[in-house]
Amino acid sequence: MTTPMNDEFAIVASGLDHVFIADDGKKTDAVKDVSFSVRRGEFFTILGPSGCGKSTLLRILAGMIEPTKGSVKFPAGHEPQNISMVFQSFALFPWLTVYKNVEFGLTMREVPKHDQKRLTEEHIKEMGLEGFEQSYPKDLSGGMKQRVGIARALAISPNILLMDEPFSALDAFTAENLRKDMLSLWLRDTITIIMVTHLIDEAIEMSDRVLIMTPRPGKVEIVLPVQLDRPRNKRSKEFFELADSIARYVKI
Amino acid sequence: MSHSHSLKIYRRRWHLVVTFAVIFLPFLFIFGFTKYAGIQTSTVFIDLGASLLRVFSAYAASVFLAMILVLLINGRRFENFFLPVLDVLQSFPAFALLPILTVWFGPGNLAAIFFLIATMLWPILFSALSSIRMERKDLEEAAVIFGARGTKKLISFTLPMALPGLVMGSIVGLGEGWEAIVGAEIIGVTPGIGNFLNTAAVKGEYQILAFGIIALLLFLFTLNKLIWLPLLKRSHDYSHE
Ligand SMILES: Nc1ncnc2c1ncn2[C@@H]1O[C@H](COP(=O)(O)OP(=O)(O)OP(=O)(O)O)[C@@H](O)[C@H]1O
Ligand SMILES: [Mg+2]
Repeated sequence: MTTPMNDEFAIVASGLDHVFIADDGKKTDAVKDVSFSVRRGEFFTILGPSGCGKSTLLRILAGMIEPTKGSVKFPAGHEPQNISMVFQSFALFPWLTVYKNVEFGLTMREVPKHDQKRLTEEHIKEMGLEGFEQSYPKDLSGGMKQRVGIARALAISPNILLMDEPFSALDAFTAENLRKDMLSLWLRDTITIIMVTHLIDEAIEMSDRVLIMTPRPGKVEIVLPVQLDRPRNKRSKEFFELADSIARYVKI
Repeated sequence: MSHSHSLKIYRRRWHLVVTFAVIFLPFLFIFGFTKYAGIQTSTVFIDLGASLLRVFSAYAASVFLAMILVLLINGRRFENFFLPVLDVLQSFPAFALLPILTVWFGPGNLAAIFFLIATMLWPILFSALSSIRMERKDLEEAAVIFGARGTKKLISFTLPMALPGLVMGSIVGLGEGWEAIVGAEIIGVTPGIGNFLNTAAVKGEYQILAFGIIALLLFLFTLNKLIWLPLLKRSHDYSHE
């Protein structure tokens, strides 16, 4: 399948295959014939059960895994070096302070010193991390750690933000709070977000469209739009109805 | 909320007091005993100094070599071929090298230092390597996606990851190093603390022998207390999220 390259899109994936070959020669079709495009400024979610290839797909988009087949294309101005990522395990550098963690991407990109300082302070403030600049990750709660993870990801002003189950390691209250904060940031800054999740409610609450994946091999089951008004009421009839119809597409 | 600072552990008052006591204890001990036993204080310091010099120059060289090897080996395709080779090399007894080294360099410092490197390199190298190999995949992914590539990755990711292993390996390596140098000095490398102990034993001066052993212990305890334990604690703290 070919999708015409268009300014409307931030990323276009066509015919992606990925086969893992284990040491004993066993092959796993982690991703099989996956094609989709994500619009600029869209909140796009990849939903599926454990082991269906969501993380593999996200890493292919990030350029961290070379697909066995297929391609990922970005229109001009949306080059892959402006991709950022938030991890389920936070993946903060334990030897760096909160400040240095947030600053990491800016230092690596050799952004001018005064911009580094401004952007780091800005994102620390934005994520409510003031006063924790000199703390080390081990001294923070899970929610605070993920705030650092998000601040680090946003500090480099990404065109595309990839998030791999960013709220899965948090308790329900912390996760709900962080989802709200994330949504208001996304609404304000119109950045393209691709999030991986295995929670139907999370997908409906946050995304414009949901791509549902089926395991073994990891294929696209369907891509569904979420046409509910924001902010979304998780207890509304429409919400439940959509959750039901999505659940019917999710195969274990 | 702890606002840990890198030197905090050295700032606590009790630590200063302990440090002070612990530095002066071995010196006072050596001074007092040599006066009591009627030996020249300076010869003991020369012996200790000679051993110290050998161990530390060999240690510095071993760390340098280990880091170079870590950076060369880590993540390369030949890693799986290289590690067994290093493992064979490491099991080769360093004492077997001593005669050859003594023939090449004479029974002096150079032979002793090369011999010590052959002893200390391995624990340092292998624990640095293992702390990198245990690395969490997600940390490396984060480093790479935020732009750490090539030399930048080595400096801002690989080295900090290797640090806890380096400290652990240093403690083990230095322990083995002291054992080896005392052995070598007993066999014939002079001057040195091993030499001093051997002379005392041969002459039947058991009091002096005991004193020498206690002085060495005190000295090593000082080093551990002052340098390695704080470093170990710190590297452990900051290698855990
Ligand atoms: N490095 C690897 N080597 C071999 N197989 C792998 C590797 N990584 C993933 N797989 C396999 O590929 C399939 C997809 O894995 P992936 O991690 O992408 O799934 P996922 O949807 O993210 O699962 P989860 O919800 O558990 O995170 C799984 O069957 C997994 O076992
Ligand atoms: Mg996953």
